[in-house]
Amino acid sequence: MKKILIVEDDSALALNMAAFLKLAGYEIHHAADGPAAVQAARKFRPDLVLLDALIPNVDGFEVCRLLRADEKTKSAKIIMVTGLGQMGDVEKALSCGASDYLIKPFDQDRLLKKIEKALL
Amino acid sequence: MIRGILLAAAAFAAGWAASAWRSRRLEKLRARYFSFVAHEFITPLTTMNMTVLNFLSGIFGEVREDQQPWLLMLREQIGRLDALVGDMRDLIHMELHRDLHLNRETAPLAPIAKNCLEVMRSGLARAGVDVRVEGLDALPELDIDPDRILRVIEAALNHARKFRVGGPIALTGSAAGRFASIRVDYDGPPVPPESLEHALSLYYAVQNPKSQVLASTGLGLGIARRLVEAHGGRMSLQVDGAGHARISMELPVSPEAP
Repeated sequence: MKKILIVEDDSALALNMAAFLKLAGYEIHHAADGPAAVQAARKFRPDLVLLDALIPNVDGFEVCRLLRADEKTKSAKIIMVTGLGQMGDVEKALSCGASDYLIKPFDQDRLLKKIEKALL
Repeated sequence: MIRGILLAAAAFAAGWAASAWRSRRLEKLRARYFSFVAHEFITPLTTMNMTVLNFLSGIFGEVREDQQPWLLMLREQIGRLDALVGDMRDLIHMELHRDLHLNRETAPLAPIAKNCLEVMRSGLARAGVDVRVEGLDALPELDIDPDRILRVIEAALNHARKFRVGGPIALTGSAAGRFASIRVDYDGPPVPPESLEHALSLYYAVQNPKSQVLASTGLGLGIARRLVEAHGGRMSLQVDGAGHARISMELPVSPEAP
């Protein structure tokens, strides 16, 4: 079973994503801020990280750089989730090492397609 | 004397430059503030939409048949808010930041239109509007930003729903070379030429000639046209003397399409 780490500070959104993705056959872990995300990624070694760009303490872009620099986590696919969606943010996400990006608002269909594409 | 004039001119120029700098700074602050407000709406909307969809797909347990229409109605209202916030966000990037970026991908139009109609379904049914779809399945894949094009189609259908005086709305598509043509046809009231000329302009609130109430915010079709143009396409509204109306848009076919 593939493991996904959801990094999202909005717990209602995280719970909804988790409920849906569990049913889709993934093992789900959750972290609500930057430092917790790095710690959880080192511990659970996810195949994929859904990483919100605007999270407390350390932002998603920096978390992405940290995960890419760490031997234990550097091979995980990272999908940067952002509500910003402009060229600068997308470029920034990709230059930090994100495999892809997902722009809010999104629905289950879009989320699953992005995950399946990243994990191919 | 000349020295005095030069000093006065220099002081005026310095004052003008400072004022322009303050104005640019204020504009940037304004842009940042509106971006932040729009962004703050987006996460709760995403959450509400996912919650409703999780309910509808039975993830949170079985939903009784008599409860489903209420969830569909809620989904439709979330869709309206979603479109409004999307319009606001695009408007901010068009008018204030001037950095609108499309997330283009190769995508078929039919599922986007289907998704759009699904969200609008209960509202259309309540208004007794029949939407006939034709030709979209046969279109080649397009080079589009799916979210933006969904909103463009939604804006066109909403306009047709508001202004139709009867009969069905037709959503049709056909391919012509490197562009696909998508049309929304409906029967509405005749529109004066001066009003028609501005109907797709940003901020121009179209008025229903049968009532004195403004029927639109002046954003929907204006933003839709700008989005279509950002794709390299064109959008137009034609109404003949009898009130037969057609919203047409051309969207680029993907280079990957056969």
